[in-house]
Amino acid sequence: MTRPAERHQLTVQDLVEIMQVVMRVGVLMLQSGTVSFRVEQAMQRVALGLGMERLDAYVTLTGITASIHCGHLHYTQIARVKRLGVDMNRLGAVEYLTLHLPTAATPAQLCTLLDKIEQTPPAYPVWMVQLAVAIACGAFAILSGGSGIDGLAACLSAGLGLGLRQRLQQRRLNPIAVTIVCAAVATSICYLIGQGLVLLRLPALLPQASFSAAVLFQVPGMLLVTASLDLVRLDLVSGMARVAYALIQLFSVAIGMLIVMGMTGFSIL
Amino acid sequence: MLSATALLQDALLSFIGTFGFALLYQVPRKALWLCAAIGMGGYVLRSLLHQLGLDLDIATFCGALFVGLVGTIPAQRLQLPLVLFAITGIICMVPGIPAFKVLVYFEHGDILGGLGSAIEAGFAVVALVSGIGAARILTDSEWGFE
Repeated sequence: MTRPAERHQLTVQDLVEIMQVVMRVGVLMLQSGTVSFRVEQAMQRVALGLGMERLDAYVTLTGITASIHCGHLHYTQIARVKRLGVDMNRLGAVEYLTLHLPTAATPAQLCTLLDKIEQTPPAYPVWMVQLAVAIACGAFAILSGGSGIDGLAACLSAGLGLGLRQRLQQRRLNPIAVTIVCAAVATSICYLIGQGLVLLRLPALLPQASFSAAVLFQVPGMLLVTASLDLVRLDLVSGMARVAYALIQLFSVAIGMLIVMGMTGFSIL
Repeated sequence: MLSATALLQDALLSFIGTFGFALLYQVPRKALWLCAAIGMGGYVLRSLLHQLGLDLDIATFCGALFVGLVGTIPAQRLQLPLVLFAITGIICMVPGIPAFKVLVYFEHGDILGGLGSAIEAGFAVVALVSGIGAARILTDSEWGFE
């Protein structure tokens, strides 16, 4: 922590370096999917920890504007935020870092710590996530009234759909296109499984349940909750942006399902 | 009417469901089982209250409030963000299927059905988020007061 006497020796160059770190913390947290208020809090902690007097951050879903003030100096920066996702592991690590800043931390030191967090591989291997989510979707099919066979059908199609989603996301395809394609693929697999069961004279009890549960892995649950938490805090711009994104995602899933229903004549109603 | 088998089935399935989404959201290993347990608790509370005759949306609110309140304990102890427990905990109660049905109804020309489905999903979401929001305001003074 810089003492007030040292603050007057800070140069604009120091402010630029501090701002880089503060912004990186903000962008990392926003990309991990947390609410704007928490992003702002974490940026504030880092800025004050690095000796700034004040930070004003305006955090929206797609960008951050922030100013730091120190003595007679101030510095403002805008950061665009892309590739929004959900990564609680990274979020936890960054927040922990901002709560436990090393004493007399320097921007360079924090940068290396952030590098380390960024380079940490995902907590779980891809196949494990696919398996767990597939089984979860199977469970949801049974929860919404389906039989064990429905659960199995939903499980298989959701697993394959999520696999495709992860591939497409890696290629950085537009998120809306990814959602529509994966919804269409998952539901058509589910439809084919249903038809196969009919051929084997093992009709699924409630194909509607498996058909809808097969796409539940694309429900923007995280966005809906963070949106409302933003709105409760009256972070209206960020909250409404999240609502819009969540609705787009929901509708994209529905469009994917509608394409398959239109082609097959099957209906979930 | 209470049905223990239905509750047990709900408990098992919501545990599995929450666990899956916790993995999807990359919840740290030390919190994984707790997340699934909290999700199960919220869902079972909702089912129980609904079975006791409470309106489903009010039961959903209570389930979400439970998730929001209980989640604060491990969040403090494990020093993890609160949002981690809140979001994975309510995922089983998110009305995904009614939301998808809205467009399907409209596409079939059933405007009333679509509106009904949209309102059903909307009420459920509002119940969920007011539960989580209320828990935040009750437990986090930074959230409750400007």
